Amino acid sequence: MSRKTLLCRCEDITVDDCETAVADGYACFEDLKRFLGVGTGPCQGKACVQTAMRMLADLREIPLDDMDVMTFRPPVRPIPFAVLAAADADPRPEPERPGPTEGVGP
Amino acid sequence: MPVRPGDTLGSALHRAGVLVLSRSMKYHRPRGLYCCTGSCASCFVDVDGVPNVPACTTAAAPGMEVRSQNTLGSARRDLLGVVDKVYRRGFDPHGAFTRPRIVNTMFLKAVRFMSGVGEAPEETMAVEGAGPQRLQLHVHHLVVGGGRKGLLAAKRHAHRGLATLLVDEAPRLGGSAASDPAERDTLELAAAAEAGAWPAVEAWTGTLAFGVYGDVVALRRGDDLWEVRADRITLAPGRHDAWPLFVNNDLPGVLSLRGARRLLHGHGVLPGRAVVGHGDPLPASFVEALEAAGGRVVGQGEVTEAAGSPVVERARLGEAWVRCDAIVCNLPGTPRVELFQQAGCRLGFEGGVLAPATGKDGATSVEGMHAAFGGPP
Amino acid sequence: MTGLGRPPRRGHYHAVVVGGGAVGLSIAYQLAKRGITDVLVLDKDSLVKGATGRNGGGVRAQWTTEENILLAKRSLAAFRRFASETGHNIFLRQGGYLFLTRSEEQLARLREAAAFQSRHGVRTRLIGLPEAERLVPGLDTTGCVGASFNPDDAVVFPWPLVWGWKAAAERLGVEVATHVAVTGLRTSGGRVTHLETDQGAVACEWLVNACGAWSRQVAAMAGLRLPNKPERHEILVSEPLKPFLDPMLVDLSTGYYINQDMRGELVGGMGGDHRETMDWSSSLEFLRAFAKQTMRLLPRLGPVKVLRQWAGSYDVTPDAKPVLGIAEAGPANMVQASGFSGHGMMISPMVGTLMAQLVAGQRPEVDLRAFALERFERGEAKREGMVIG
Repeated sequence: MSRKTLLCRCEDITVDDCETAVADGYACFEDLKRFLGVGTGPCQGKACVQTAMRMLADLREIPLDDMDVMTFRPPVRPIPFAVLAAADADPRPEPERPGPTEGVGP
Repeated sequence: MPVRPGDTLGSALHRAGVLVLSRSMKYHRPRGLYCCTGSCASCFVDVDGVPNVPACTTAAAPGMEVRSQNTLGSARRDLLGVVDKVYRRGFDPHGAFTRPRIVNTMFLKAVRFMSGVGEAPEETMAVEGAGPQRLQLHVHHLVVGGGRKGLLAAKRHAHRGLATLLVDEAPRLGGSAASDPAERDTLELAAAAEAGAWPAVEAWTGTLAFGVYGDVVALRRGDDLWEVRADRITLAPGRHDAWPLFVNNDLPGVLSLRGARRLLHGHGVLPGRAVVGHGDPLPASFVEALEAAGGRVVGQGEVTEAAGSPVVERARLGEAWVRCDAIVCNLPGTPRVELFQQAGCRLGFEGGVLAPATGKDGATSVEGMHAAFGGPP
Repeated sequence: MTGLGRPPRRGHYHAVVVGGGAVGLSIAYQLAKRGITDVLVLDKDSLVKGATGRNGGGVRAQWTTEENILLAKRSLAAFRRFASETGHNIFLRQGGYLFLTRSEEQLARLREAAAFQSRHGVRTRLIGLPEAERLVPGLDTTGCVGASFNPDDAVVFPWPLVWGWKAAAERLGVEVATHVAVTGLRTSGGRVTHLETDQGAVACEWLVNACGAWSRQVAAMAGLRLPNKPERHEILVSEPLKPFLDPMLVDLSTGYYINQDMRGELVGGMGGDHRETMDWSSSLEFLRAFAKQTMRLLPRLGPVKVLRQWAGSYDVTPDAKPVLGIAEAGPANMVQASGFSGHGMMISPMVGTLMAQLVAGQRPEVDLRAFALERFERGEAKREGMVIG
């Protein structure tokens, strides 16, 4: 195994990759994300994005507050097509303000 | 493989000494458990033909067929692992093999062949019962997150008797405290909530809030899809484990403190016999429990390099190499900001870490939405 | 976002291209190849923030007008040369496009379209449902009445397109300035003389308006009205899977499309409520609608998981064809290149060539009359029939 320091584990992106990319001009987070793939894997940046933003701010020598922030989109965890395609359980219009015990499915 | 009650695939495999669960996407480096909370995507396995299943949060059941993914051979001895050695300094696909055309064509074919991690199921899966259902609900107070802060938020408003729904994606309430025996207060709160002790508060475990879409919070409960509207929403989602930065930080055997605790306290599985601590000092309660289970801490500090193949065998602390079979990382976690951002809440950097901006009572910049975060984990 | 915008190096350029997406950069690159290197490309954000950075990567020649087919075919040829020409991979994969239809009326139109395309050198053929099922293992064609297939259609990775053209253009002397916003245009004697930006003013001989859904705003700065409207389209991506889906699959009855990219992810979108908006928030309705169609067509993908959804705007014209060239009602030195209605990236190579030919004083190799802004007034607009997503 070779010696690598991983930044984005899902996509096998190393810290060196980031430094090279920033030096090559992929400076803002949106560029880095697409060029390297940081944060686009199955973990969607949970493990790496905050570290990546801090690293990027250091490399560009700008305050962290000036960093552009990754857009975290739904779903928060991967959801199967079958669940999203769920059939309507109750075609009635929803009742007014039920307590949690009403409307609970099978 | 033997399975004990309450095991996840990850804990059962770890107890059986199987630490290498898969190979990474590009370099085919060995991978295994890290966070044990389903957030780091290191432990994906194929279960009964379903790809990319997180071993750490999937309950183990007798008869399950678990296969590693993305290997030519096995996870432990993947023939494609040579890619990692060939590309010592990394491989940038953007400018690679662009000329001449015939080489480029072959390269693109190789890229396609190597792409992806799990296999799409070959057959249509049989539908159990009525199949996934889509349901809707309107409550007064929705609390996302059943850890300490979520439990307190649900309890605080419970006395008014207005319908409160508390959801947590884990099988038990308590959040991180569920695998920390020192957190007795939180565990009592969790027990009370699970027993339905608070008026009009219902707790759903195994329920993930996966998106905020305008005024609807989308939940996955089992295989059902719930669309919940609420007058008041408290998001208490907790923190993600930070990722350590040292050479070969992705070796199986490198665990977050929470991950190690989940194995030890949650499943009675020894994270390692010879443990090196990285980052902040390992808490005394963890060290004691480790020793009681037959392990010991052999070093602590700032690890600069891990080595071993295919699992951790030693860690570099300062000038010295320390033999170990686990590196437990105690680093400050980062707030889970995803749902806040989807809801349109203003975020800011506090102490070098992105978090929702909050005012009194955890009010965010979006009306009706509140944040509840605890101190450092 | 602060910090990244810098004033352009010079105060005057022969040509300024507003918009650094696929179209703008293709134009800049083609200008430079023709010896016009005193060119500035401006983009108000990073180059991948607009439609080029958000689309599903489709590249097809299955169109129903001669002009669209010409642009598409020659662009595909350019995509095939891209890696060796620029030294950047765009991961072009020609797995074909498979169109499914559920109505006899639509099948008749598909048959006409296939014949039309064949006459213009595009290898589309009508196929039976059993063959469709062989092309896409696991495809459920229940309810479908027919299909067409073109094996040459393709998918690419959109972002390296932009980086490759940028690098190639910069090597030839073009300047690309990102995070610089155009705030106004100064005209005199029916010509644009200066652009006002948030990093200072820039003078130019030619101005190219190629900023996608923002083109309408920039045109308005010169007093020109474009009929373009931004239509929100949503898209999603699945977890990465080993390769199993070769063609881009399209269901014409719903506008549903799905393909597998070079990372193994399934990427797709569909027709639906495409509101006129630049609000790119995601909806649960889209997720559910797409999932339902996926379960209908590819039921074995039930356990496959959605990783992420996002959105962008198609820059749409009344006939779904772009507005190209110099508008009679606009400045004489302002070239329009917008309104691509969801297929800008796939014809960006040829659009680059044609607009560069225009600026260079050469005769555009494809007759631009069908794309003139005036066609809407003249009542000559023939609507493109095969818009998907």
